[in-house]
Amino acid sequence: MTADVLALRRSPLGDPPLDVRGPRLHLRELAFRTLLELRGPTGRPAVGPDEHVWPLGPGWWLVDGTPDAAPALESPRAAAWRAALGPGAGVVDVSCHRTTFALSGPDALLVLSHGCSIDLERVPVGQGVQGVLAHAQVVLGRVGQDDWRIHPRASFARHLAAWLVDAAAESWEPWGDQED
Amino acid sequence: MSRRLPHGGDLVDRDRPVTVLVDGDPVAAYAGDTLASALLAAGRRQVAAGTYTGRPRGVVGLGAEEPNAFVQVVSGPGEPMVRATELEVHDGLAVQRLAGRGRLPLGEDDTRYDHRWTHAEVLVVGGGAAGVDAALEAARDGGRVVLADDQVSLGGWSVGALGPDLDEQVARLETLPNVRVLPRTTVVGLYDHGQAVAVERRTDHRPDAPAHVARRRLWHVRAAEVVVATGAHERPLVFPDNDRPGVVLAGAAAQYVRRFGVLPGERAVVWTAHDGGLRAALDLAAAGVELVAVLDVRDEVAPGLAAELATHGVTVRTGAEVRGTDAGPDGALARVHVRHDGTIVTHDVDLLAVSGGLNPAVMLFSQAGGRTRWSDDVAGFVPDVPPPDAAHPVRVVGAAAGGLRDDELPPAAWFVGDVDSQEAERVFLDPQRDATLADLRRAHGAGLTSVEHVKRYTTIGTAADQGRGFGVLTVGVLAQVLARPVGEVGTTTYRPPYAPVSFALLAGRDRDALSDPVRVTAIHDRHVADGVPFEDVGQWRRPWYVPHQGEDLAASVRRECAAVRTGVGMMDASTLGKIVCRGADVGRFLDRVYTGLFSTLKVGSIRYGVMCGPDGMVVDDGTVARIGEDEWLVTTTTGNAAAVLDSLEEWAMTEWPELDVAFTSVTDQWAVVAVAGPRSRDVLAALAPDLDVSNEAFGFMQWRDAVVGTLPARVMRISFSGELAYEIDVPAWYGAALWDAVRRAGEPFGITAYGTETMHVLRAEKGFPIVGQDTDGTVTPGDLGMGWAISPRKVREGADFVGARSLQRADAVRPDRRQLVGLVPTDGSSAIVEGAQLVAAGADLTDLPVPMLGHVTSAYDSVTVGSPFALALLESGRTRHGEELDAVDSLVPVRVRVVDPVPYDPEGARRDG
Repeated sequence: MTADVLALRRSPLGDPPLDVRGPRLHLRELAFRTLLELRGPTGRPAVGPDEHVWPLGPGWWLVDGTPDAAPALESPRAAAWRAALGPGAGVVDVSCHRTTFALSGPDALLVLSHGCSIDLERVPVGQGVQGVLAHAQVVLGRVGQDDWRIHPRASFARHLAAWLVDAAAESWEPWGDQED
Repeated sequence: MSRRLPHGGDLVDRDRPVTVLVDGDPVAAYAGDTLASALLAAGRRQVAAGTYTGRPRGVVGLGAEEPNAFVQVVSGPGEPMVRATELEVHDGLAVQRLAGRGRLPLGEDDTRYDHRWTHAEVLVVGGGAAGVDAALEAARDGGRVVLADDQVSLGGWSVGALGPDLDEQVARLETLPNVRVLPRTTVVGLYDHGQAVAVERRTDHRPDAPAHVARRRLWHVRAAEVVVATGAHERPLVFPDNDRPGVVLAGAAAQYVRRFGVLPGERAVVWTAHDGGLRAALDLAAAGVELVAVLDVRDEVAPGLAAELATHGVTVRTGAEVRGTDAGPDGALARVHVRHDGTIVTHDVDLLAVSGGLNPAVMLFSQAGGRTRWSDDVAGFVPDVPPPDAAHPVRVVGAAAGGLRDDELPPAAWFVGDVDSQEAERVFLDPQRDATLADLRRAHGAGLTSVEHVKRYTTIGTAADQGRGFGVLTVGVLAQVLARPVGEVGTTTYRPPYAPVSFALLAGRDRDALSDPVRVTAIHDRHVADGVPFEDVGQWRRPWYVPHQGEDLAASVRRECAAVRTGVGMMDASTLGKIVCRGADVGRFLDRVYTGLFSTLKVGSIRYGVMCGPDGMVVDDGTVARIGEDEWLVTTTTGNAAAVLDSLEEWAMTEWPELDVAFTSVTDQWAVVAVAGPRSRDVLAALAPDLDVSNEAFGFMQWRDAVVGTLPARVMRISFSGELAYEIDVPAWYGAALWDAVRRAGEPFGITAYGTETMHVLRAEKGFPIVGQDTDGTVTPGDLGMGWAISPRKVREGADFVGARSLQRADAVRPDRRQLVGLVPTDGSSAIVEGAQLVAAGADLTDLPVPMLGHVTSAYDSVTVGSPFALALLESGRTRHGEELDAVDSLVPVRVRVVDPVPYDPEGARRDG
């Protein structure tokens, strides 16, 4: 039953899946991640492997967690966080509100710099920022030197995917001197 | 007749010959040539014609100061009005000479353009000696440096003078990892906060570039500090018939010899006002140009320079002046008339090299807010007061700062000699505009004394070169005419862009489908599969109507409306804005931002709310559901979601920081299917057998969690049609599955998908206004007949809410305010037009002004009402029910009767099914 219901899910880029690879860049959607907004914790909340936390503001965090195993109106992990953080903290499930793109490869920063005015070079690995990329509000997290997570709102996901594929034209098919 | 020297010219590669087409004729050149140097090398002296006079014109300058030599590029994507002095030649380049005006190429341009943002500690503009030096210095501590230079390679025009030292510096700079060198990049704008915009020409010179490579790039550079090392522009001296091909700036002429190995002429007169002009004369002489006369307006020249010129057999004539020129049969320069010691001598020459001094290139400094002053030492305007943004300093270095060589004698601020009114018609102060000294004198005669006024009256300095060469000269000439000091006359203001930027480049990849984000719901693919026409609502794409085969809008909407009124309909309502408000004080907070009372709302219940601005005017409406003690879900109109969230954040942060409230947008979290109509309960019962859907158990304005189909869902009993209706919310991943499930479950009940148009008709029939359509920022809740939405308890207790005080102003309660009414055509059939003005019945539309009583805000053909039906805002509308008026669109009146704005089920009997 659970599997049947899970099979009904469609991520914003699910059909067809977003997975484009070039010599210097790899862009794909990581579908069905569990995304939670936390309010309250002053320190960075601890998460498990293959999970990330991005600061959205003082005491305000976006947790990018692995997918849940069962369908639910609200991810059970929201309740778990509420219990862990105690009264006064707030947790909102935004798993479907945003989706997750992984943009990796030596040209990742270059592609982002085509549509984002933030100084991303200076974002250290493990840190993230909120901003606008290609006219879409996003949360950008740096998980490695050349590995980024992009969380656009679901309704903007197709626009952003089309934009990223277009902006990376010279990375899919490099020509002339390679830029940094 | 080639004028290419047998050797020399470090910028050209003689091993790489190139052929370009000029007006269809092949012209031989070398890689590294500009079109201007190629034309000069080919002996083509006339390269353009005066815009209005048609007079022959030739190359005058070397770069951005060139006023004449504009061509239309007709190869590649084509481009109007490109300076020959800045156009890099390549095989396949084809141009047409222009008479002042280019033509925008017609047809689709599929060339790619892009933008890039970058950040630096220091941005250096200009890659000459001063810029390279500044970049090396700035790079020393490891900070990020961007060096932008508009030439093909760094070094500027002083390479010859500085030699190997500079080459070595450039080489070093290009190896530094923290330095980004951008050649072929023109900084066109410098703004506050170290913000610069630059145009990079990436493949203009590479016809072999594949189509997917962006031809040009607009750089947005943000720098903590900006160093302006843009050098100086040479300015001419003027005299009658100064515009003939063969009259060239002396410094430019010398650079054509030195850098391109091209002789701009064979026999020359050189006329100058500063040492730089004399050094140019030396270069020309060394290259083999026969100097028949070298003139200097000054009374004295440096003995060293005079002696060097003497070795070429040339005596400098001081205090001398060119009085005019004659053209040969080809329209180009043939003779120069020189006055020296009171006598006129005529020389047969093909080159007149003139140089009136150097204008420091202060444009970017000036754009950023820096102020300049006249310097007698430099005979030019130099940087004076720096831009006000001290946190992002703008430093000017090198020739742009007015720097002179140590060994130089002061230049002369000499502008124009004694010219009579007839001659003045042929003294060109702006060759591109064909504007003359006579025009300037006329401007003065008309009483104009401000340089800004004179510029606009005469058009001098308004052409593509923006007066780079001639502008300061014009200021000097005006000062002479006004008999005032040059510094007092001042310069005109420099504004961005420094050089033209094409719209295609400004757009970058904001074209076609990417020009603005298209937002789609989780159910979008179902609508596409159904082939529905879409309506754009803000950035959202929503199904407009859902036609059967062969149906038009009207037929489809009639059928859709009937289904909802008599059976059941379904629509994708996912686009409504949704905001989770969380915290212990949300109830109190909502009491303050909505007109109604929310703190008393129970968990499980929903309440409708109206939001006003501080002026008491309606800004949004929607529902509020209490999900838990500390959690509430606010919905907004589709188009206002972001603005409402911003406004909630603003009130919470700036006015009531003591309240425990936090907001999270969840618009995209939920896919929503509205199921509306008398049979909607049957559909829901079939979908959610475990949910008690009876009116007693699940009342109007309540919500329940349930399994719908197999999906986890939250069901809200809300109606925007007046009918029994539900909105089913599921996590958006399940949106398409929900759509399918509702459709399947509704099939036995004849469920009908409907779009935004039907939704509008249904709500209009109930007199539900749409904020932004039936309101325009001047409408109070009372005007909409929604005084009930203002909590009586709040009013009684004097509780404050946003807009409360404004709603008590005398103006807000005037009886003759425009109020929401319904309209029907008196003939029962004439369409009423949205936006039509309401006037008295039978008003004479020719007797202006016709008093306007209101306007139509929404209009539909309503099957339910049995005729066209409209909502309108009408003065004293509530007291005029039954009156007749004319609704006038494009001078065509339609007689209408004012009716109650709720023509359908005014008692609300249908909402419970």
